[in-house]
Amino acid sequence: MKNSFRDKHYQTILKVLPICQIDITDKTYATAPDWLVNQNLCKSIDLVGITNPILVQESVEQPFRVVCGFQRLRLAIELGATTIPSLITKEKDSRQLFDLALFDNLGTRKLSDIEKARAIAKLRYELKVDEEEIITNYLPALSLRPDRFHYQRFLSTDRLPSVIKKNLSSLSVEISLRLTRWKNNEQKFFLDIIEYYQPSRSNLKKIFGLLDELRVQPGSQTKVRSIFEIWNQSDCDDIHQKSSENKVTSFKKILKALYQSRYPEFSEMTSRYEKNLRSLNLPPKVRVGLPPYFEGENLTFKFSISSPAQLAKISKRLSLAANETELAEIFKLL
Amino acid sequence: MNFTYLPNQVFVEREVAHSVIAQKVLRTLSGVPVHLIDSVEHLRRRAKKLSPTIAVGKKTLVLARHRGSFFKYCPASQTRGGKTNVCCNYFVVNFASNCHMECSYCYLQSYLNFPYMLVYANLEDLFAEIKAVLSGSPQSFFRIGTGELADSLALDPLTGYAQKLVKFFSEFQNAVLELKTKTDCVKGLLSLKHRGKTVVSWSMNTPFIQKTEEHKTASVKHRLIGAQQCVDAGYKVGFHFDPLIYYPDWEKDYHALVNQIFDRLPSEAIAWFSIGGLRMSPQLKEKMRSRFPNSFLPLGELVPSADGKLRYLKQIRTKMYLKMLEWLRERSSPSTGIYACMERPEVWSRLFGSSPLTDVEIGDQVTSGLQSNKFQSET
Repeated sequence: MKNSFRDKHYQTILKVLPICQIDITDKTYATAPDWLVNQNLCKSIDLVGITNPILVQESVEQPFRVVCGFQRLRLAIELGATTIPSLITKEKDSRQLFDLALFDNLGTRKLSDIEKARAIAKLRYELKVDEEEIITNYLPALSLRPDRFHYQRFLSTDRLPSVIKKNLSSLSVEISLRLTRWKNNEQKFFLDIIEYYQPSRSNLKKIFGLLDELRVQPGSQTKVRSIFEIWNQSDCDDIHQKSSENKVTSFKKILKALYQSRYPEFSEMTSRYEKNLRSLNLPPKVRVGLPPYFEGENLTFKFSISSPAQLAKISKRLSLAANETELAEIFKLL
Repeated sequence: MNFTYLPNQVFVEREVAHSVIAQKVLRTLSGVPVHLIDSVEHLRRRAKKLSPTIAVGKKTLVLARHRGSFFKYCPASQTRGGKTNVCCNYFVVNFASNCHMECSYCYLQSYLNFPYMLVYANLEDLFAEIKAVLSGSPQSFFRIGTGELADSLALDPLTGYAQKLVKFFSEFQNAVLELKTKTDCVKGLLSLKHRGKTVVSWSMNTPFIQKTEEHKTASVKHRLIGAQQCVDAGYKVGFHFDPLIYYPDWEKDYHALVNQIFDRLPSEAIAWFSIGGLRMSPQLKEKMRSRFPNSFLPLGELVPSADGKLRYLKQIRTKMYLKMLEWLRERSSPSTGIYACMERPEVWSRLFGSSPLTDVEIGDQVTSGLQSNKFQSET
């Protein structure tokens, strides 16, 4: 912030301006891209019209330039309005006006990550604000941790390709930034898959993590596998093409298939364990517990009984199981 | 090879500005901007706010007074209470923190919260503390390393720290100092009277892993030349195959590495070997993915283990350990200690054929060749 706003009042005049006198293409003070729509504002304008005037900058022989209210103006135009109530300021200092626009927004709503990223990039590159000042003063105002890591991260977010930016809210900043390492057609493929299956945030993180990790070849610094190759070799394509299954089931199978590709030995050990356990044919009441990821040396056997006879029956079955080769095979896995 | 670290700037706490270490650093780095400061605390606050990248942080050297305890148990021993891992009764002296080399798997990346290279210049306090510990337990034998939070030798051309430590430890009968490194900065050690109380050791990996994952470190060849020079100067040496990395050619490459060591050095000169599989915290994995996106190391079959770290599946690492043991035992001297680092008791049993001993017994076994007089050099 350039100066403290305490006791600062902008001299403005309220007028109803013809929209044709406003330069709707000038986005100097905008932080939200045009495609980002504030649904609440949309509803409100649709129902009661524009209740708050927009703020515009007056300059000699130039059309008015919008400072605050880009979405209000756009929605008014979409609804067929030809005029709009406007507060007109003659303030010339771009930095002051940008602060005004930014804090006006922050006072009324939460900014999206895209808007935060745009604001930081504008402060740095267009308004030439010192990095340290952005970190110290603006990042906390944007509810971001005031450190260089977050500063850099949001500058990178602003540079994301628009196809990823448009999906940022569902993808998260983390995944979006990593996705830029993929080729364009791989990014599009992934976004299509996500749009089709609409996974939860944790499942989204899982599928991206698996695909991203599978790209790197074991034992190689340079070779990167294509996402299409991974998708096909893991049989995900076959699962995806099967129209008989619902999306939730298909997505679960896709995750499992990718997991098996990512952790082949662990998956193989798990399937050997399950096969041997099934062959033991233990009474259904007996639950066998394996140490997580085979890290440990003990199996746990749990069961409950309702009579001494049941105990005798289970004990007998367990005694038999103790001599089975399948149980020995299970212990070999530990 | 020249591994001298050259910072962009040096911050020196006024309190240690006249110390032997600070004076040596400032003499060696004449021309590098020096800032006198009252306390590192203001740098700590500044770092928290600006969070410089790891690489940028390393270009600043800070000389400060250590206000806490220098001497500690190896952090691996902390899991001992819960019997998670077997401990080898190792102690550490943290004379510095951070390292200017760039191993992709280095845990310091996600462990240190002070991003600059930090050297503690109050050497007298360090000596006094160690002296009190060693004199206070004359019946115990201590194996003490300086390579936990920093490479033991990487800054030695600037600080001369290791040289002072070697001389200091030569006076004690009940301790051995381990200088653990990935450099070949041994020149300053070669003419010292160490009296067999220092072991210079190298963290070793295959040439493929060294080239691709241990950036800015000495090559395997140069590490071995350094080891040879130390042996010639009467030191015993040690080797840590840690982290062992599982990759398609691991078996061929590690076997060749073991043979390369024994082909160059007499087996009686080797005090110990340790083996340890790649492990990392989930935070480190994320850090590695972002700092070294092409590294395949975080993409092995690493699964969570009881201490929260990710490790190769037990079957994978046991397979690797057994092979390593076979190759090492084939050629090592009976007095050479071999142990596994940060491993579960059942893995230890499988490797060494018995239930794990106590920490002290394992430590004694590792240093058995050093505790008996016959291997102590009177250089």
